[in-house]
Amino acid sequence: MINNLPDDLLVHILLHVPIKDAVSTMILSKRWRSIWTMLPALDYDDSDIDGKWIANAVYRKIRELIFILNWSAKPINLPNSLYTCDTLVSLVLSKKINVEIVTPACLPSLTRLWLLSVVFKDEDSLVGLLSSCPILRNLYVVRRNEDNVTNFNVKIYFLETLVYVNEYKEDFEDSNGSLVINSPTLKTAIICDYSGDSFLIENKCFLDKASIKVLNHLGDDIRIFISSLIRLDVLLNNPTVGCFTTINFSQLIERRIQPYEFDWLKPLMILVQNSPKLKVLLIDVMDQDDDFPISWHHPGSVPKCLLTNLEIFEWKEYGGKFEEKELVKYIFANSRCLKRAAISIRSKCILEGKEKTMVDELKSMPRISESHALMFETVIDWRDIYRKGFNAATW
Amino acid sequence: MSESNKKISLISSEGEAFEVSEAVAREFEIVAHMLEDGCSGSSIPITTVDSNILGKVIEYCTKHVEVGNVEGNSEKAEKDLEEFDKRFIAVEMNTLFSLILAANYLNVKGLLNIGCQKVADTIKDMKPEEVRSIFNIENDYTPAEEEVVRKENEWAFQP
Repeated sequence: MINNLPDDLLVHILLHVPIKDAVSTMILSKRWRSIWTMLPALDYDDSDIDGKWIANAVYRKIRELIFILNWSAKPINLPNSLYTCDTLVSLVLSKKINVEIVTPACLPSLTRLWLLSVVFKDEDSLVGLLSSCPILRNLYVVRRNEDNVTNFNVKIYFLETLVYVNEYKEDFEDSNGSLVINSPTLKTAIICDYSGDSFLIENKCFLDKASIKVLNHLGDDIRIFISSLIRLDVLLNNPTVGCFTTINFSQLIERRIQPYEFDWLKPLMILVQNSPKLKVLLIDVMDQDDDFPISWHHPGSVPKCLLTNLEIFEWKEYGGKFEEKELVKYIFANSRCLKRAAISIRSKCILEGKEKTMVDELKSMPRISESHALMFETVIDWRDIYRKGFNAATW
Repeated sequence: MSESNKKISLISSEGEAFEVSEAVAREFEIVAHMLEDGCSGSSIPITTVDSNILGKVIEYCTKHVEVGNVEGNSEKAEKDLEEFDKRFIAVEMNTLFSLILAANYLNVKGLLNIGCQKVADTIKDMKPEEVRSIFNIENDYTPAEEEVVRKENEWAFQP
């Protein structure tokens, strides 16, 4: 008899049944009424989508909803009751979803909200949604072009973590959009905005950790907020450098820089100079064009962090140019506390057979720290193999 | 005697002993754990499973171990195994439920999966009344209660 099976086995069976059939088992008997609600994940296929099941889930006091709609003729709207669900703790909406807030929204339990490539009915719908989450801690947004929002305002009082990704726009130089943050308790901000939108922080907040990758000028107002950072990851280019090189990073311990079409060595040394507590320095030149001219200037005085703090130095895609060599030589010769240096050779150089010479050269550079381990990583970027044309002789 | 030839007796709820190779016994994850925990001794009591069902589970595991050991021609072997599974699971309902229970208790994942899949395939596209009758489920809702439940999730009951 099927009734001899324990609940977990009945749930196991329902896992193999289309969701509609699984839900309809509630009519079988009193015992079956709640079996389907124990399903760990509800996978709905397209034919079942009409929003009714969300209304049903809300009715059943749903706590977590992940809704990804891949294929649909047009974006669908979700029932209003979803936006007033008082039990919902975590909400993930992705792709072909039209976020439209008609009646006032209220999500009093929501702590995590992910909006991944969704479309908004209008800017008011975004404002209405975000303002309805009084205890939201974690917001993750991936925007796409034409999502009907120009000014993306993040005004959430208790927000702790913000991840914001905005894709590249063809006409990014004429962009009139913006990202405005107004969240006083924000601790971590990861901003990757390649749209050309401006970026503003409106209120007082003291970030611990930030990753800021934007293609345009950063306003002066940003400075105060990032000066207290402990970890910072930046895309270094012409528009952003002015901001980053004039700040004193008194608390900064870890820094990662990614130069992008930029003569970056001198600004890097200024950043190092301005970060007296820096322990970890990571350089990633993956996105820097190899032919972009760079220049090296010997610093007037040795940065304080090299003398007293810097322990880890990593370089991804080291190309062995004269100027790059000078930087490594300088770091090795002056970093008294260095414990670990890890360098991965640019894959283009490996494919050209230069790796061994480059490694030998790095190994022979004088090092002041005695406890200093030097490591090499071989990571080949497949794009380089593609560019070179696949040549069996290389292998 | 090599490790793989070692024999183990599995004792059914009626006390009947089934002698199997250690490799087959290890397909029962519960037995594998016992062996790993150092529970030696060559006979292991399986008190909740009767001879009929235990024999079937052993048949299933033996086939899967045999096929797993054959090298080469994996595509054909896989197809054969699929055929075997299909025939193996085509049993009457009560035996099917006993097999699922046993597979769950002994932790034979493959068997548990094909068993649940078989029940699921039977439920799919059936009206609740049909499911009740085929699985012998007594409807303990009053007509009024049933109406309420139906209303609550109307969408699921629409064709």
